[in-house]
Amino acid sequence: MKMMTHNIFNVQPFFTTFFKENHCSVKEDHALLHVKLSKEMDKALMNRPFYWHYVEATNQIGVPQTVSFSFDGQIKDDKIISVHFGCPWFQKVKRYLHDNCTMIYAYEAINRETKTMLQPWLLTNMLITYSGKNQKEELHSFGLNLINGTMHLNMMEKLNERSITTTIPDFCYTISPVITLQSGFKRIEQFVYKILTEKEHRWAIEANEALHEEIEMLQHFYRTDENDAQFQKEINAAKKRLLPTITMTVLSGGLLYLTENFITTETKKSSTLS
Amino acid sequence: MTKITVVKDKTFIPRLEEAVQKKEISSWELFQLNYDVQRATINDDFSKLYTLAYVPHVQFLQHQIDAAKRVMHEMNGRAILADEVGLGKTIEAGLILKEYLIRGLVQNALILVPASLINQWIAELWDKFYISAASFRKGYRWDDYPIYVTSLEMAKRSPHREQLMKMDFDLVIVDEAHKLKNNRTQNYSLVRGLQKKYCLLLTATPMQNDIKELFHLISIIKPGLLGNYEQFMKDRKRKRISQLSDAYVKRIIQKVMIRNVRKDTIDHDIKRNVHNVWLSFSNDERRVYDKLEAMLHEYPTLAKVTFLRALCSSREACYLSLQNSTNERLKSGVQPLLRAIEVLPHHVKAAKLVKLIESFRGEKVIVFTEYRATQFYLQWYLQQHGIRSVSFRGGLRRGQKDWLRQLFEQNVQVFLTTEAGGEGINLQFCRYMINYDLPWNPLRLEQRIGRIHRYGQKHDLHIYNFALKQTIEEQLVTLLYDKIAQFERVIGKLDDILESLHINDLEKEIIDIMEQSNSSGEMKIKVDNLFSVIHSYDENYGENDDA
Repeated sequence: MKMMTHNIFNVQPFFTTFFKENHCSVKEDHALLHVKLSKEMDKALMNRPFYWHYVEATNQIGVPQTVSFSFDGQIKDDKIISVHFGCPWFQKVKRYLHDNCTMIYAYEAINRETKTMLQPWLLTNMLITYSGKNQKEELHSFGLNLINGTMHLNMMEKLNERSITTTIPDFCYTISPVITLQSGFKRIEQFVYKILTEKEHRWAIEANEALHEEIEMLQHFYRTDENDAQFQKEINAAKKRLLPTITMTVLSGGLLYLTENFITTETKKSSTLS
Repeated sequence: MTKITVVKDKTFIPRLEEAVQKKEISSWELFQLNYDVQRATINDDFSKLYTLAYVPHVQFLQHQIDAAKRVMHEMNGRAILADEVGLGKTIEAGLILKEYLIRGLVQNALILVPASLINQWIAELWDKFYISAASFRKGYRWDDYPIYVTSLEMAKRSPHREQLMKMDFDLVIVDEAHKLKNNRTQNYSLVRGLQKKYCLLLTATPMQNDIKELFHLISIIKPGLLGNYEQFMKDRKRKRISQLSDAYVKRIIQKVMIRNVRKDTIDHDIKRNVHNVWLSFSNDERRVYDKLEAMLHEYPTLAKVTFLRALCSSREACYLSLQNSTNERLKSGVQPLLRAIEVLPHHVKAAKLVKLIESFRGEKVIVFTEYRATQFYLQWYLQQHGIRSVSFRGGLRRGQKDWLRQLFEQNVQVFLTTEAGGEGINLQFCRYMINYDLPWNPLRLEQRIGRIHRYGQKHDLHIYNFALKQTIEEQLVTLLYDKIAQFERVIGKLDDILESLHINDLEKEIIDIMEQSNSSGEMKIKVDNLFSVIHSYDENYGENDDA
């Protein structure tokens, strides 16, 4: 079987950016990447707590390790770590990002000579999981203007076109939100909820049918069996497996201050979730 | 509108407020990177198998992918995986586990396997799927690690049993699940009683004796699928559902069971070359054999066959089994013969073995013998000819087995093993096999070949069967082996037939025939009868087999 090409994701630039942005010195050599880790990255990724404990206990400086990655699967060398989508190192980096890089508080970086007002936006990258007999996920990026309630649907894509910085640019000032974070998020949830109720959910109907069928079968099976505890266990398992559920999980998000004309070119609100 | 539970994220805003307050804010570049990788790892399709993209180093076979998909999409994660030996049930289970992990549907899992296979499971889960699983050890708690591989024996022992009963597992996998066939055993009540969302039972022989056994297995997977027990037993009488081939039962069973057979999967690519090597005793050996045969004439057929077979294997095997005989009269009667056996030259089969192995030019080879004594002798004899071997047998500890297997893979040409040693060990890197002695039961030959003819084998196989002319071995071959050969080489089919005929143990049937026969002529007739029953069943019902 040939590997599926669904996840077209280039791991090499992903790793390169990751280590650069984490203050490691990085050297690229075709399909190889040599990384001299920073102390923080060594602690976070190399799994040698005793070394660092010892170094710190004895007041020494400590030497972070150097690692080399290969991305084309060609190199068979013990010292070089072969990396591909889904491999343990990929998961390790992904987990680090998940644990440490999910919250943002930043500004649109503009170069102006005049005083410029920046408006607050709530950014919410939300995973919607549909689970019944099977499961699928969607990732949506919502932006909500906390002054006037304007909502934008592909917020990350929009932001990627601009430059963003975590320090406030010169001559810029921010205004305080009119809508609180809490009620801003509620508006996003309500919007998602409304869209969800308008959609047809074939998968949920199927899941409910399957669940009913299983419960009926269990009731029949346990009619002559006095073991009520076991019956309850089976019912719980069936529900866990089949009860149609939609889960909203915010994977990342934050507060951004953007110029007033941030969305002028865009239609304000699109009413479909892709 | 159908009812759907909606779960909202209540933690986001508090998390955000806390992060802003504590200034634990990401850089914009890393935040973007995080979003990119989130987007790339979204499971945006109900039915896709994302695992395939995560483990590009593994080449899955189509039937394994299909099995994993069917289990997840049609069986809702509860199934009996009943592929024939060697088709990769473990891989299918691993695929399913991995996919559930990727999709976040499984957070914790318990994998129950024979103690001798724990390390192999852990290694395979890591090598093929990057799933890290722990072996349960003293002092651990059952929630210390999300995924445990352990044995039924460990799990059912107090206090583990009580602790496990309180756990809530997302997935329970049981390998060699035929150990759960009897609903009155502790094994059964343990697995039945575990709180589990998904459940996979792995067995190559889902039903050996009775449809009742399958009923109990299915009651773990999907209680009620076959009705409740009373009703099922009543139906069974009325409709005479006694066989797996019953179309009604079969249809239902297909909802929870997947069974791939070798003929449909990997056989097309890999050829089995079977060479029967006929040998003759030397004159000295012949004389002793004839004497022994004459002397045993008055004893029961089974005893006779046993000692003659031993002599066909090695002097050592025969000597020891005569010495260990509990029949005092026989023991004293053979004393003069023992001396003659002691001075016999090297066995004609052993000499042939050396020649054959030398002709393989260093290729790995597995040698099966029926006797421990022969195994010792052969190891020494091969050593005399500069051929290194490892001796493998049942009863070894797990670590020893792993070590011997590794030795064989890396350093040693010959893997000498007894029947019991052949179970649960994968040797698909080897493609030569010599059956130094032939087993009683021709089906066991299939299990031996299954050690190397399995998923992962890349070359054609060469199988050599040694047999001595004008001895009990020749009788065995003409009596049994030739008959079996009339069936398809694929033993799975014969298994099904025997199952349907309630012949649980072909070996036992044959031994019974031998015990109850007074002459080899009578024996032959009885065996012929047995096989003609099997044969006619095949002709009458074999066609409907795939219904």
